[in-house]
Amino acid sequence: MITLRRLTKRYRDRVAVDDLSCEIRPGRVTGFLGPNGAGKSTTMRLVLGLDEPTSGTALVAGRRYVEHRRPITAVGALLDAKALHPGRSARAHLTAMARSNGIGARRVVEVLDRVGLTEVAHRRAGTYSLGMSQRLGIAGALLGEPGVLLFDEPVNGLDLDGVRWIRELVRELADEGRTVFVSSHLMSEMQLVADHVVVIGRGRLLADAPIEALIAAAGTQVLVRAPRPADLDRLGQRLAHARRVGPAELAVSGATAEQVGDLAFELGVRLHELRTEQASLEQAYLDLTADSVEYATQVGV
Amino acid sequence: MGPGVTWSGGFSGAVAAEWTKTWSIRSTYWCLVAAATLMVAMVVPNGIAMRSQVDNHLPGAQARAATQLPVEATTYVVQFALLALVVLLVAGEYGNGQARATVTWIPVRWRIPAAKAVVLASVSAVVGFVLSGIGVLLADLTLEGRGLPYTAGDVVASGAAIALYLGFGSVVAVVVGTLVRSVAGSLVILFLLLMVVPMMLQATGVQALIDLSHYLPGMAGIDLMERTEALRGAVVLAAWSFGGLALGMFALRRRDA
Repeated sequence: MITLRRLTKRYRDRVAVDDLSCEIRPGRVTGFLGPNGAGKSTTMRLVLGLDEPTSGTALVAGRRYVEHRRPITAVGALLDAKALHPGRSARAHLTAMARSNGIGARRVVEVLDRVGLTEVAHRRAGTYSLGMSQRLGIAGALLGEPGVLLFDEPVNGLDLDGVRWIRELVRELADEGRTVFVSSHLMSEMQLVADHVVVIGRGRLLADAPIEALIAAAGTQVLVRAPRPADLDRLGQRLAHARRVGPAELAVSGATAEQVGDLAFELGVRLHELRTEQASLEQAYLDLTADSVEYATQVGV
Repeated sequence: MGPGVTWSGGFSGAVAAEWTKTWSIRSTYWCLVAAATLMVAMVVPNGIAMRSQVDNHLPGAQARAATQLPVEATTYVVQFALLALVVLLVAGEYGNGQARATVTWIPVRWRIPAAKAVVLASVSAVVGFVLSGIGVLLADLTLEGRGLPYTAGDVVASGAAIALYLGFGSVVAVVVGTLVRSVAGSLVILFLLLMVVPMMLQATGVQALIDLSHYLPGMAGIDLMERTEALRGAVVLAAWSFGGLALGMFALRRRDA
């Protein structure tokens, strides 16, 4: 269990995490979503005691990270897979890590095996591919058999096999009853692994809900494709919630396909496609974070 | 203790982790090879030169004891190989990101510089003692009896003084590395602190400044190793080490990693 209470981190000129309160519960995968710069990594750094909160607290299993006698047996984390000495072998790195928290050398062998690095464990970590580094980072997270796991963008830069492996691992860890907190800016990824999502934007909590609830709240939408952009504009003007999602595509919410089709007929707009779509997490997320994107790109109209 | 648990982490865990980290990168071995090479490269030509000066009755030629040569080698070159080792293991961690991992393993921050100080000072002291013995042997071989007489006690005492100086010097290097967080910057500061500034103070010829130079770690080390003012030198070095370490431990306490 991770408990954030009014957690705030202010840097000199900006607020990275703003009065964030929520609970991340055990036995399920909680996705941590937000646009880049939303404060996801900072939140994780605060949980791990890497940064000191300006105010508020982040507790793991009821205590601050620094108060755990053997912290890596309480919390395992993968924040930055490249945060290690490139000249040290995976085995030596994990051995030093194990010794720092009084963990026996046998665990090093076990985690190397679990992440599939046994064969290359003697090689210097600097020679590893991104995928291998990521596996080493995960080996470190699992080393202390912690009840709480934090993964910051774990699938970044991984190939398909790696992505699938992480998905299965995250699922397994949650099924074993652990608290699993996974950040990502890839909604599609979260939709596949998360049971619950916490969404933040500009450091503020935007949603803390089961994934189905979030998708259901976003409802359905109707997608319209037409060959002439001017036609789409005319159609859009007559609809309350329509927005252009591509040069030849319009997304409409709050109306049925029948209504949109009738309207197109009435206006004499030639359509190439008309379909109803169940809103994805992607959509729910975009709706939530639309106002909080730090570096929004203005699409030319 | 549960299965697989060998001890309880804490400070002893931090020391064990630093020990493992020290011996699992190549630069440690390179620095040790460099230290040994520099000891040989300083003592052997010095011994030969001293012998020929004495033999040829050169004006100003002055025979010294074989135990003296490793002290000079340590002061001028050997110490920097060992300080580089310390700086690479301390400041180097900030360069490659290992520092963030270390803080996650050992969130009680003061334990990090303290554990590094324990491990690296021990390594430097043991290496210094061994190299000093080798240095005396090489000095003996090259001087061929022209050196001043010395006893077995002198060998142990000068070895111990070198070990003590390198141990304290390593603690100072841990502190500088922790505060500066850059390998190059730390080395420059150490070189200034240990060599350049004391020599400049001495060169002024102003008595007050010369007196002051003996309170910098470099000069204090010479006082200790030459056994001119051994006790004062040791006290000054201890003050720099423990005072510095307390400062380093305090500075790290709340710094964002």
